[in-house]
Amino acid sequence: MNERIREVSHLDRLVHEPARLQILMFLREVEEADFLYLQREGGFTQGNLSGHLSKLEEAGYIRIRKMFKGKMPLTVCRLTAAGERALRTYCEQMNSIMQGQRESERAKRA
Amino acid sequence: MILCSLTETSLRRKLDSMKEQWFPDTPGRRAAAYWFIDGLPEIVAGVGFVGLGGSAAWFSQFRPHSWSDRTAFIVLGLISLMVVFGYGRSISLFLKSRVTFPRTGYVRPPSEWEEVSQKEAVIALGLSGATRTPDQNVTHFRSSTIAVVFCGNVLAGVIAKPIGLPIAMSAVAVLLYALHRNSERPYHWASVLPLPVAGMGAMLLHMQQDVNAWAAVLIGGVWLAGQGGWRLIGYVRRHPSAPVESFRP
Repeated sequence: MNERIREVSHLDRLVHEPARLQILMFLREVEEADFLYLQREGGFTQGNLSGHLSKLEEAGYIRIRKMFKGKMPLTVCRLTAAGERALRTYCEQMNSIMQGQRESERAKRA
Repeated sequence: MILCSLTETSLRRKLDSMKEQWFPDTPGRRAAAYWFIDGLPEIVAGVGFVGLGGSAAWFSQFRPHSWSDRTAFIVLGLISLMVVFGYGRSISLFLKSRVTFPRTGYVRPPSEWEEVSQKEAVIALGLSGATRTPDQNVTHFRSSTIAVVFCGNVLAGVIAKPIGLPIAMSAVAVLLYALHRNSERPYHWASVLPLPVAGMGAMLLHMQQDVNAWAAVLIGGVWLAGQGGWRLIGYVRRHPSAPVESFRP
């Protein structure tokens, strides 16, 4: 089996899940956002987003601050350095895999 | 019928242009646009311009001699300058937290373009491997709007004729439309039309030349505050109350 294809098994599964990848990419761009904004932008349900945020927080990829604004609960999420590193590593791995895929397709055509 | 008349090339071009319109819509750009969703930053900037242009026009028109009138003019002008150049962002944030938050959530407000352009470029991630600016959650609304409004002010002053004001306001309208066209707060071409119309109306008042120049700032401010007010009303009507979040870890 191609060495690059084998790299797929080394991908961080926590980041690879589309909804979590979306959350991390959102936070990478905006630094911090609250629960409602993430829900609106990502089109998640509340339960779904809660679950994904908890998993990311457990892994130390995001930091969650819970507070109150008046009587309204406010949950602000922020990407941590570990989260940014994990996302960067994931993107590099995917890049490398896709590059390998493109090269093998080119070789086939030739 | 229409589909049949499309050649393959034109169809491909249409699809490509659709891609171009959709793909720049990154989370960072959407977050920057979100800052203007309730119109409050425009209202604050507009009120600042109204204060500055109004007080300067009033001073130019009446030339007050008493120290109390002069002090009132200077204080109002200084406050307006601070609103426009310095504290507009903080005032907008304060109003947002009291008036519109948290109807559709909170995201970090965009950085000012001038601050970001001074930062070092950072190699970004991304599947394409391309580099991008360190942060796409950036706005140049303040700097470009100030530049355009003061450009109208200078132009109305330089053209030493009554027709100067409508010409200046037409230039302001074109520049506002063109500069913000692909920005985080674009204006529809019809929404900038009131500017030259207001310039024509003000010309009929036969004001002095130096009053004309400040009237350009005044009209710009009223227009900006009007745009923001219209947005705010629409936003509050669309989102009458905040949804309750339920994050359960």
